[in-house]
Amino acid sequence: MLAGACGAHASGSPRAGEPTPATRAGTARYTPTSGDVNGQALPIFAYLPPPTDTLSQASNILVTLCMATYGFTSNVPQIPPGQQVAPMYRRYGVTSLAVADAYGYHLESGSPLRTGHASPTPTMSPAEHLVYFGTPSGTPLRPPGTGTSPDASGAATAGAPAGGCVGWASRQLYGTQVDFSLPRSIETQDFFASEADATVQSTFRAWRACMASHGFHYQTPLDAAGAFKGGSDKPPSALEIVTATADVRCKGKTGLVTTWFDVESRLEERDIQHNIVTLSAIRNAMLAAERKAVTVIANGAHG
Amino acid sequence: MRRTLTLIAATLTGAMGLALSPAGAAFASTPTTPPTTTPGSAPASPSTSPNVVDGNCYSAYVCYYYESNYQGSHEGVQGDDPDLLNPPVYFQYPGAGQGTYVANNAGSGFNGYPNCYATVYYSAYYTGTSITLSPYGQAGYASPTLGPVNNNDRSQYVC
Repeated sequence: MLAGACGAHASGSPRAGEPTPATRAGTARYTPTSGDVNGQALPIFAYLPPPTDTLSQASNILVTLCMATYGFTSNVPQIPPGQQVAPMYRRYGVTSLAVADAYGYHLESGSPLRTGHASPTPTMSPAEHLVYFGTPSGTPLRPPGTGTSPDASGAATAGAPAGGCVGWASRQLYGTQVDFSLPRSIETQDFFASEADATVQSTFRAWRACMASHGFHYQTPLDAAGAFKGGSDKPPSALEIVTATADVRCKGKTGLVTTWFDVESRLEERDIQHNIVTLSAIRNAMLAAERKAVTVIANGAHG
Repeated sequence: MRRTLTLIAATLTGAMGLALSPAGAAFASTPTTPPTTTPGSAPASPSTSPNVVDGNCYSAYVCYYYESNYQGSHEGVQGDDPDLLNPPVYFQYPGAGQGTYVANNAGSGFNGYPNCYATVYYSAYYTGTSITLSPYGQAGYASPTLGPVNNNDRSQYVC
């Protein structure tokens, strides 16, 4: 199953006088256009990770403390504040005309995904690795539920806490790992249900007709982005840019993004109400961890 | 530095009921045999992506499993990748699914970055619905299904 490889037979050419991608890339910034939903949130996001900056900061304190207890006072990876996440950004594809015009479907410099970029992960000595991760250096990390994973279902490795300092810190904040299966399932189900919704399908038809008027033929906006190959190390082709700009214009003309967002939101609200007891328990677990994190930060800051 | 952290430890111990001394209960460590690891075998299909190594999932890699619940072949992918299909990334580790594309075939996964979030997207160039995995060890760092991108993992963004 190769979603996105849609068999499109796009056609088009650079407009007369069009600057080359190389001259434009690096100059455009993210500029929301009509119909953009970046900055809004789907209802299910209230029940999903990622943890907040408060939790990340508390985790940094606890992991650092744990590492120091084992004699390691530097080189500890830290989660930076303000690091992404913009879950609505590009959810329905590219929506900024300025970005499409300069980058096509490539990720622009200064995009919301680039905020709070972390430093490179420090290279650890074998001893540091063992204490931090709970696994010897050079061995793979393990998934949840296995002996050396951060949920520490197994025994500690000699010379390190169970699951490493990262696992120990996590247990101080969360107790056991929070199970996000239900909210992730709701998000999954309703994304596809919204895509199949009659109202959304109607806007897809209008978008396809609009794209066809520009000479492009794709089933959905997400197919269009997936049709261009080359990777991030190569600049977008002229064809990619004219396709992306047509895509954004057609989204604006048809109201596709706001329609899709509204339908997806409505479906999620319904399913949240049907599962409110379980979802509230998840939410409460996250809030409890948040309260512990506030205590850790307050005490750590005054220690 | 050590003294300061000891004071912090004492404060936190009082505030949260934690045992934070090296010999304390929270750090009690029973010597155990390190986990047995199986090196990744030679790939069934040579991976052409520069973002992978040997099928194992080390720190600072996003780990994908072919099947749900962290079963089957797996592969670690490093860094931002706007299209896991171009150039293709393959499952290399021995197990069900070995040799197949990672793109649009992953059933579960976890984030091995200790200091970065990792977001896996439904479509290329970070578009479509997505799942964000927290830094390693944080709540939500792993998913037994990959949620909305189950078998629809096409691009990944880290940090």
